[in-house]
Amino acid sequence: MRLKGKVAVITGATAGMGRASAVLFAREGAKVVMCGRRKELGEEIAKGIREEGGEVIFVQADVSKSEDVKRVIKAAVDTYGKLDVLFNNAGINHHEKGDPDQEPEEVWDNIIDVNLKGVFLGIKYAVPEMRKVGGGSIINNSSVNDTQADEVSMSSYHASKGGVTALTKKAAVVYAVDNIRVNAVNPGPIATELVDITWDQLNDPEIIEMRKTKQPLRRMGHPMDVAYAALYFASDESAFVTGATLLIDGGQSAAYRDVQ
Amino acid sequence: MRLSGKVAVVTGSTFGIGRETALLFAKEGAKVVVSGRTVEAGEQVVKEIQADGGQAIFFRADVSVARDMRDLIEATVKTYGKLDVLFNNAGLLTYQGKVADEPEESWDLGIAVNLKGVYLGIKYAVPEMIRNGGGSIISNSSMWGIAASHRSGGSYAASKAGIIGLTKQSALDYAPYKIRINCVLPGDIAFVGATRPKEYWTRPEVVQERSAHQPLPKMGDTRDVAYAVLYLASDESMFVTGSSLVVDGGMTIAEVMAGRTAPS
Repeated sequence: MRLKGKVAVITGATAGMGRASAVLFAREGAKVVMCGRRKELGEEIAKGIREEGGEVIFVQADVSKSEDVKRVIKAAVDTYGKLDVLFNNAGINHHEKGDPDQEPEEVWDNIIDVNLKGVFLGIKYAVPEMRKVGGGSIINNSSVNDTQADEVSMSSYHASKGGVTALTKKAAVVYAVDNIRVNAVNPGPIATELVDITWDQLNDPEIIEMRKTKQPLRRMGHPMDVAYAALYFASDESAFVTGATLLIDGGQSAAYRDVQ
Repeated sequence: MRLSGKVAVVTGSTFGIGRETALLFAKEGAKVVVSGRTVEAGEQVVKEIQADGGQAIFFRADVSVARDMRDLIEATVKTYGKLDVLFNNAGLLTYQGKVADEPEESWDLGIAVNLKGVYLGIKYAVPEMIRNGGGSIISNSSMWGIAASHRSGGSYAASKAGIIGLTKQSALDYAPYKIRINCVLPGDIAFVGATRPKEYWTRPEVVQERSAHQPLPKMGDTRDVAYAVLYLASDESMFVTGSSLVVDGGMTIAEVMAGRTAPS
């Protein structure tokens, strides 16, 4: 088991990539603290993980709120004694006109708060705890949209993900001396609630085929694809890796759009 | 076991990163074809794998020679029935110094081994992987493929950057056949050279020189690269293709670090 003895916090763990990572990290021996805004759903997922032998608690929290993030980190230390891994996964997007001249200011503020400030707060409160145990691993969920623009996402989404990538590098450089590694996963189109695909539909091959024209691999990614990348960064197998950004995008960024 | 049932070829696996990866692949259940130019060293790696309960053969090949690469892939399929994973690892640092000062023969050799070798690996592996219904190819680039260094040189920089381009191009070409193609970009890794004695890599002045300007205050180990390659070889990276995974202790994302700040 690749995370045996480690304590991991995963934000946005009630859906998609966060949920898949909670399941996978627990299977790999980590004690997992899941957080998200939906309490009932979170508790239900936690129960499922416990039923397959995993150790997990759920803490209701909104990553854009300082007090909430503090409370999540404290819950990890109070419950499991320490913090080794933080997966800053929580993220949102909106499905409306997102061009800079059309995106409403409130939407901009909300997305930046969750996607970017949430990562900042996670790092801010995790680092002191990781220092106490002599190191740790922080993984941030960025996106292919940190450098590639698309037509449908909000401007704030692009800006926030670009920010997450830059923040990853900044934190990697300054916390290396504390043996805290900071890396980013950069997913392409993944079948999640963010694109209106529910957890129950995930293993439906037809769903995974949706929007297949954008990636050379001609399918959407599964949340587990990202969970495995996060597992690699979380584990000691990546002990010499910090500040890295790993594209999990079916080849989307490697090629122009002429994938047919 | 993460490579259970898979057949893997590792070029340049008589020492260093290649050897470490061959050992790890075998531990993870793959049948491994160890390859390189030095027969004795290669047979030794095979023995180590077998002593550990793994399966491996050695096949002598120079990656810059088309016939050798064709025969290597052919021998793999003949022995183990198929090909799932190819790690294009073999590489040479033929010249350290200014671009214009590199002798032409050094340039030609560096490009032939580091870049043409990867092209030949892909060329002969792809038909077998198509037959197999898919596969994973990983090539060993370098952080010097994306950043210059006074310890690097022209042919090295160009060949390692070339690998990144070739990775993306072939990722696009062979994605429809479920062949994923990625590369790793190692930074300063200890125990990589065949020519240096083992103890060289643990000398304090060597570690100091190589990691002074790198965020993580240590040198990498060949294991660190092997695990990155394992991730890309296994089905855990099923949605990853055309990607470059940097394994460099943060070297290439940092501005030149004047000195270390003390932990606060």
